[in-house]
Amino acid sequence: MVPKMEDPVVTMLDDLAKALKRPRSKRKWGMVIDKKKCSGCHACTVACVSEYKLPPGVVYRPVMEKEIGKYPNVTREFTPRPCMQCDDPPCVKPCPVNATFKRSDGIVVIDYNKCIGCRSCVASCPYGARTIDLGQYYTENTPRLEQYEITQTYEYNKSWNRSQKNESPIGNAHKCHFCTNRIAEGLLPLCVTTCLGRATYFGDLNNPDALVSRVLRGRNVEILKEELGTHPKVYYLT
Amino acid sequence: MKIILAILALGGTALAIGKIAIWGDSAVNYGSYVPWGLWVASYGFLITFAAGSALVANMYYVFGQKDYRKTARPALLLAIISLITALPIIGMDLGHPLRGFMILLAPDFRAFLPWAVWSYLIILVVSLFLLKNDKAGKDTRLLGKLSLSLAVLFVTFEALHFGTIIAHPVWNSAMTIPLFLATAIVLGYCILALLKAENLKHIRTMLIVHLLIVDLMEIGRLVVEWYSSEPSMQTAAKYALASPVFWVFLALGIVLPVALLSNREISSTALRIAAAATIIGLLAAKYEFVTSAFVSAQFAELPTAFSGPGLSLHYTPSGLEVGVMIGFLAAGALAFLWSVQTSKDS
Repeated sequence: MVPKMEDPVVTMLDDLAKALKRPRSKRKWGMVIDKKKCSGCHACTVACVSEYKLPPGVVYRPVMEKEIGKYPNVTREFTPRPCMQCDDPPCVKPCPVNATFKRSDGIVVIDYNKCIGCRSCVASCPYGARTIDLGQYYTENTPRLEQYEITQTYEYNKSWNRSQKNESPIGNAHKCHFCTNRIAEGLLPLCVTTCLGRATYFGDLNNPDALVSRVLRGRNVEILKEELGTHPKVYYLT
Repeated sequence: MKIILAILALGGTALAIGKIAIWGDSAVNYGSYVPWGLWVASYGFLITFAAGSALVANMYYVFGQKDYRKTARPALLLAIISLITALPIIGMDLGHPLRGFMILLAPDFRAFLPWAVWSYLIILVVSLFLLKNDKAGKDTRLLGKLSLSLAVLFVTFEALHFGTIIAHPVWNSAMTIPLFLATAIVLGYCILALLKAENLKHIRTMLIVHLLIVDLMEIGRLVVEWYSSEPSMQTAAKYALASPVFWVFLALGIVLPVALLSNREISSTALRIAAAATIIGLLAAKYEFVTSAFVSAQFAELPTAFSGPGLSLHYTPSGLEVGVMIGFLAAGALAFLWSVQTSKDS
């Protein structure tokens, strides 16, 4: 008899519900990406773009591809790159108006209404995780701007509208925020639920029994640019 | 001359209004992977230029050196105008230009930029007070010392804004501060040469000594990048050598001025040519300093992972960027000529 395996997403949803019962400052959201499971399908990238109706040039979770070895011993490695939600975020320090900051649960967020668009944070991120909304549309120079580009979007538990050229979120820096609005509703970040290979784990790193903490044990863990001392909360299993 | 400057200024202003009201950031060539370009370089240059002007002016107001008396007032005007010209240029660069005032109203002093901006604001006020005094004395000494300290401070804060960015090893160096300060001193002596100061020999000596220091730091930076095992540093050095802007710096910031200034019996025309060439050369060096940091992506595979506007490592300023910069610089030059004329008449 084959033992019943629970979908990791169900386990992580349970973990999330438990974490949400604790005060925000007691949570430490983290992500683990199993590179051996990632098939490079880009479903996470597409889901993220569609969830937040990201305009041209804005991306929160691209998947980087690297070819390793020489024919015939060749392999392809995929590295999804969300925001690392650094514990010591280098993007926060140069912001002259405190428009970007680390929340008590460790997520680095942007206050779009405060951001002046100086791009100091964009230049300061060693992971290239911040992009700028240059105010462009996919359906620009066509008979009309399609509704999906100017309709309301939801980020940071607020609704935003891109129909006005000079108003936020246009002109602002953007970044992955671990789907803060979904977490608040007890949902997992969209890149986690849409991952076909179940390669992305998410949860409260302060809970040693959470799946996200358990998968980190006994595996080789890679941290991007660890030498910079930014202490990312995104880990890669290799 | 004034008519040409006025036409250029009007053209630049029209383009600036067009950028704010119609085109937005879709008419610029900077983006997410090259977030800072020509406007940031021009702003950085003008700030340094203003500090140099303040230095020259305060040689008279603080130290009472008589050789600097004639040039003190125009240099002070130049410092004020350079700062006032720099601010709209950087304002154009902001995604939300009107919110730029929030740096003054709601600053976060953990960042260096608010310190720099507050320093400009105070130096502007101090300089306006200094302008009221024609002769160096007790009154000017205190204000001048304040002005000099603030000039050093805002260049230092500007340098720290770049120098503390760990994402770009090209900037992330303590050398960034002395480089910016030494550049300001060189620009100060260039201004002195252009303002027809007396004592050519003294200016020539000071200019060549400080220029050689800056050139040594710039070339030293390139050599360190070239020999670095850090790929982004190596790429920056290769980019510099392949960029015509670097060769402009080499020709106008090193070869021509050093050749001219090597002559001990330099004529005032040759001194002015050397000074003008140095100013253009150092503007090129500033542009190269700002843009060379972005020639490599944070991960080699990142540029091909997702494509779109602003997700490119190739940067050439757009016509709008160049037009606005030229227009605003022309407006600054026009304001300077007008203010010098007015103060002479009065």
